[in-house]
Amino acid sequence: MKTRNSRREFLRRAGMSLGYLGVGSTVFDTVLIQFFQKAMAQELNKAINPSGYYIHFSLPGGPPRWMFDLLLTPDGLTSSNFVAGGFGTTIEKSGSEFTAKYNVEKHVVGKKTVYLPPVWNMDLSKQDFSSLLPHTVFIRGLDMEINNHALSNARQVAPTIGGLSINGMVADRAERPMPSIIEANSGAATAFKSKKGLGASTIAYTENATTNPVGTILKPFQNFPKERAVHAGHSVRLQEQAFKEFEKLATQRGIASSAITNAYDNAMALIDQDIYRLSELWANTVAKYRSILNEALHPSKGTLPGIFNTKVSGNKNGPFRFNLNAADHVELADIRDMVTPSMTSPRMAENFALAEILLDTATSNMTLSLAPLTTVFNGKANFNMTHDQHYVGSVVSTMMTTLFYRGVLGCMTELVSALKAKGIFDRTVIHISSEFNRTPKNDHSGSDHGFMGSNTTLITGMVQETQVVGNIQKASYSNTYTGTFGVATPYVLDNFNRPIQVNDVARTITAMLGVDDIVTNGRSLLIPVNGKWVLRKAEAKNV
Amino acid sequence: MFKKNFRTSFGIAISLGLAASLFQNCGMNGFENVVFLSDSQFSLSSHEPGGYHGQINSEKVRTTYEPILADRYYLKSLLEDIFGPTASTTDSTRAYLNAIDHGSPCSVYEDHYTYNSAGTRILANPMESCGRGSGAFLVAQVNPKITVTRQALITRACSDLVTTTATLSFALKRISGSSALPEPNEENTLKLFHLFYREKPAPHPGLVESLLVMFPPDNVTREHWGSAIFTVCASGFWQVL
Repeated sequence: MKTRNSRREFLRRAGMSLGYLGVGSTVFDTVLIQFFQKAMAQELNKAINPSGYYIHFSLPGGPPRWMFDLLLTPDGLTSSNFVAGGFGTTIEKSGSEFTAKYNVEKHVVGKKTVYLPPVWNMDLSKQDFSSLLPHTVFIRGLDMEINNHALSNARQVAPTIGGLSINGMVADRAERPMPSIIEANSGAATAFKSKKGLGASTIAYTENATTNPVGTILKPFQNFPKERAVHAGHSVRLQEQAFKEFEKLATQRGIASSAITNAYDNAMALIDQDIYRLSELWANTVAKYRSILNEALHPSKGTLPGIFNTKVSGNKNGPFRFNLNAADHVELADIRDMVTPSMTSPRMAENFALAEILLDTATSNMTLSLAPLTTVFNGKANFNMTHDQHYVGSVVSTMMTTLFYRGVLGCMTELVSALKAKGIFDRTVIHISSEFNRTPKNDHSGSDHGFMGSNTTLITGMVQETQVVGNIQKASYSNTYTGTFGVATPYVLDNFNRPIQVNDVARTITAMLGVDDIVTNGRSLLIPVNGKWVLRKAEAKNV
Repeated sequence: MFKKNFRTSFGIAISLGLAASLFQNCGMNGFENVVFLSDSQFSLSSHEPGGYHGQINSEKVRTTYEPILADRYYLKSLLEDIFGPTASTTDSTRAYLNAIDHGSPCSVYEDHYTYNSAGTRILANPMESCGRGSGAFLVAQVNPKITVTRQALITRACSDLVTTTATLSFALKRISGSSALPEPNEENTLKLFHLFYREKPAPHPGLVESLLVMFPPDNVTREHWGSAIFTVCASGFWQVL
């Protein structure tokens, strides 16, 4: 471990670009922000962060993902590899009724061809989703082993319940002043655990016009009274000397001293840097993501084939159901009117803005949530969608969840672009997980917990070609949930004849980031070849 | 005689060395077996992102230890005991009430504050304040963690408390037992230490010495004591229960 002084000095220097730029209450336009971030990134890159960067996006509630990143037929849709069920990626008319139907579209990415849900072709005016594909690893056939919202979410970052976590390992090796930042609404918020006993700074906020979450989390470092005599040079030197004795005391008494010592050193370094000034980036950055999200969630009628291009009506309370009460179903002549002007995903734009501003400048890893849509109209009143779609019918789910994922893709495309501009995307792993996938009911009235057929996705500059891995069953295990919805089946690797599990995903991520492993029976799914990570066994079969 | 003793000693040394070696090898073999069971074809470990070094990281299996920390109720109680009843009424020291950083959820039996239309801080109705379900209270952890934000808040509170006349005077009185400025001696330094480190054994001499050198040979002022109290307060380990 570095000595206190050298560590503080390092951190202080790392943030000096703030001072060089003289950023204060001056006009802070877009050009200045870009200059500011670039200068800061350049300054920080002089001291490369040894653990890389990790962003975990969790989808608390476990939404269906077959309309996004659970690729049920990555080689194309055929009768030999797919059985239809009570779910889909598009809405089609079948007889006199509308129903959800599974469809995929062909994408050629470099030398690879992959078939993806339609949302991947629903680009925004400035965000081309296909730019993500070369850097995306789709991991399907993921057996979560247990059926539990909270534990399954936590296990995505800490496979051993209560054990070490991926973000904890990244924090242990990071050289950024805040070990970790976690948004309280993330389902995995309580799973952080490091070997050094470091703690993650948690942020809880409600998004509105005046909230500045960057300011909220950095407020403890604002306006520290450094002018006081107690913080003057001579006093500080004597205090530092005494602190070393307190560290000895802690060591003598068996207290893991590094966490408290680091917390104090890093707190003072952040104060020295005047890190609070990063909050000035908030307004323009969040405005950018809010604009992206707004465009994604509010398409013009007639656009988005299969989702929003034609008038869809019906009141059959299976596919059009939206609530626990079986009598609750959408009653609209055109269900596209479910999209209200104020419909949004709370904190989605804000969390992406947080990641863009704070990753690298303040921390090396963040855990954030992606909440379901709110203020959706059912023909009588507004309601809030849920990710836990037990009673959300297939038509309602297909349209609204696809729009939600369009928002995710729009913001993700922008974030990746920002990380590239910062020069850290090649060292970043973005991990998108949920508790489980879902088991769609045959009557199209909703879906239950598909913990035996989950999936997860990695987006990283360490990968340069689309990767799809994991085997699923063509047939379901239940007469209630028929169809090919992703039930995991064995993926043989390293003499283990079992499906992919979270241990394997965790080992893959820790290997890519070069931090300590946290599981004893994980199999890394990827391996570096010529500096780029590729699948060790490129197998994605429907069995 | 010398040769005999030497042979005996040498034999014992060789035996012990061999035993130790065998013991270590057994341990190492076991470890390797455990590791390679899960990774027969290759192994990953690196200390560079994206690196691949083909070896197992020997630190991968290790027990962790997270100390149990004082929550905000403990902090409030302790700091009021040291610095007096006004210790938790200033704006900055309300950091003690920050549930998200210091743990423990909302209680209707504590003071809650809000701001009136003139911007003045006033007491709030705790039933309303708690009942509204502030996000910070809802997610407050039962076992608070050591975080950089928590440490920043405590350090700021320590700074305010030792530079505010009333709270510093209260703390000095706790040390000297009177309104007189305490003598900067070992006894008083230990009193200062134990104000924060309750029911803990006396520290090693070096720590006491490091506090004593904060005082000049003469002309000791309240500010010197303030710096010493700040040091113990900001040291942080007293938060470990």
